[in-house]
Amino acid sequence: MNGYQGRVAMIELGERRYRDIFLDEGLVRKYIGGSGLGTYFLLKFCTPGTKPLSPENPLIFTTGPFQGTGIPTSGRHQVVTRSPLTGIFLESDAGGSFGFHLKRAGYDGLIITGRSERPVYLKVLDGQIGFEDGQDLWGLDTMETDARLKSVFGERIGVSCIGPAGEKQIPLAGIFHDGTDARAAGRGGAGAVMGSKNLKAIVASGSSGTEVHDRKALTVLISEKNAILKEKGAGMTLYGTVGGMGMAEELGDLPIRNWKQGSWKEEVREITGQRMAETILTGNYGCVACPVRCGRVVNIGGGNIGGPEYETMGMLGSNCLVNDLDAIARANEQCNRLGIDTISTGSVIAFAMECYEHGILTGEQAGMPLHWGSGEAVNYLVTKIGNGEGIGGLLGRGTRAAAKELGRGAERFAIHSKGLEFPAHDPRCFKSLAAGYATSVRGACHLNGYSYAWERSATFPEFGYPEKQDRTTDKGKGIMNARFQNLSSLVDSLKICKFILLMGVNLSDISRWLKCVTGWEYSIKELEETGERIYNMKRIFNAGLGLDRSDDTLPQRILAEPRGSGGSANTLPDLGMQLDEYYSYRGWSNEGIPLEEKLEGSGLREFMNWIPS
Amino acid sequence: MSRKGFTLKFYGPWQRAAGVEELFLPQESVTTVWCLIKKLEARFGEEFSSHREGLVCLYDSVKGPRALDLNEDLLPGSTILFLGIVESG
Repeated sequence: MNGYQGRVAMIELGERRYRDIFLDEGLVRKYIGGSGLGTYFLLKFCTPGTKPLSPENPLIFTTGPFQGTGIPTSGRHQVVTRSPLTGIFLESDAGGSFGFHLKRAGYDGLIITGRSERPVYLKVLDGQIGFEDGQDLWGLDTMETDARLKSVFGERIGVSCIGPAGEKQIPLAGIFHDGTDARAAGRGGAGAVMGSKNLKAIVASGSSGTEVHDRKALTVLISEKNAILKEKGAGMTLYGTVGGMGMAEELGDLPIRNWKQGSWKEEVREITGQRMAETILTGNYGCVACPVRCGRVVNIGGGNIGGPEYETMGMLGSNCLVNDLDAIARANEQCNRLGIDTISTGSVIAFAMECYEHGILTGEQAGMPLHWGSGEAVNYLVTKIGNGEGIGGLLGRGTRAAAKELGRGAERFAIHSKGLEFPAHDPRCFKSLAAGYATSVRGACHLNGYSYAWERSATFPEFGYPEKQDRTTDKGKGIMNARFQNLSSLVDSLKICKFILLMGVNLSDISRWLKCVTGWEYSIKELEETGERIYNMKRIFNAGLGLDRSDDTLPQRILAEPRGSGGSANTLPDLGMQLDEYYSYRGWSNEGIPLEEKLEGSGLREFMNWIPS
Repeated sequence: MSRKGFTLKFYGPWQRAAGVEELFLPQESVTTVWCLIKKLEARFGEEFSSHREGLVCLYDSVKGPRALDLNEDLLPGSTILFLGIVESG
């Protein structure tokens, strides 16, 4: 089957055995790979009663059909599981090189269940899977783990691993790849799930190429598109995603002082990508098959380390009122080493700072004063959270759980949806993010739909959006969200980077690539329907856990407290209106439950038993 | 004999103001980014650069992009990109 290795491994850690599951064409045409295939297996091997940190919770790694073909940005993979942070569906997308090596090893994915008695790591080498003692790796940080495994297996391997945070099953723990060139499946606590299985790392390597239906035609298409992406992505190459800091502040998008402050015009200049380029930037790095290379390398204290990207700079920086580039870069490095999500970590630190300001959390409880703007406090808390020590034990459980435990009104400072902390984009600035965050299947996520990109600067004529959308209005945003969620689900299943949708890659290109790789014809309409099917599957999972409209909500700070100044001052989103429009377009009940006829029409009959009657 | 000049490529708001994706501007002598923008303003109107978005960079398909200062000299034969907002993550 062109584009696929045709099998995933079902691995049981407790019994140290595995078996191959062979993929038939009908299945992969329906669910593609990545997000779609991962969600399919989650629904198959998980039940509504499966606890996130139980041995039964499957931890699923999937690649896509473009992996290994050279298609721009196709070096990505997906991690799918049930989240210990939110308790609901979790998928997390990562770049780097692990997905590439996993597919070269002869697998389209891994489904990992069970719990090893002792720390273990997996070898996936040329179609064979081995279980190795991981005791010597236990306690190492992610970069040490990567280096240690490369010293054993050589440089031409992919390593997926957890740090100390994952080992301790801290709900903010992610799964990390590529050592110092860190790329993370960061959000939602997949690292804690891996730690709960006593699985420290996965090593993948092999020589199985990806068979392609029409290599000659594909080579021409790749060459043409790479040239365009290099030009259109030049800003990202030069400044990384953090090049957008200044504009985010100007528009009123940037989180400032735990989402309470409107503008920060002078201060932000110290932490833009442009400022980074003038000061500490020493290079850049990229994922496999990416011509843009947005990853940053910076020099701190005489050594080169990975630099913060936009989300990290927003959450550990402006959201905590820290504009010390050095301090943020050190905190980013520490998050990557300990293996924790920079977005949720920044959010929970800002939450702690606001609790401290209001006397809900004392300096004695925290271990030091938590003043706004203190880079020292940010770095202190990162270390505490990543090691699960002191106040970090509480904060590492996320803002929702920490607020509940602290009480005394702390809930109003917890900026999350469904337990997942907000990333660094504001629904008061880009209205579509209101329904976007509220309905996102893993909790607040800007990439679940990526709708705001089309309210900021991008156009997508082929998808019915020939003009930049008005970011200040609510009307139409429910529909827009649903459609871009479908598109994102498709892209996450193919496993390409969403950034290229802003740089001249459209659905016709994707359709042509898919034809060249697999030989299959997909119309643009069929591509969107495939994305919709996959999105509905994720919602089915959450509906099975009892979630409905009442869970599709946002914090009061976002719904009722406008920014007082800046580019999105004095405006609030109308979530109720957006949700009505959204559910209606989706063919779900007004309570947000997918309806039987919709699921039937999408070919999802086999999962109807997940929907509570 | 090929003509001397600058290959200009426009993106985002620059493209909307210019109304074209690409333009060849004949010129035999060295100029600066600032002078180039002034020439383009005269051609496309002041809104060409009034959006204050993005960056101007020199582009080489082998060496990649390099951001330009407004007063930097440009050699004929160069490709110049006028990029829209630097997209954030």
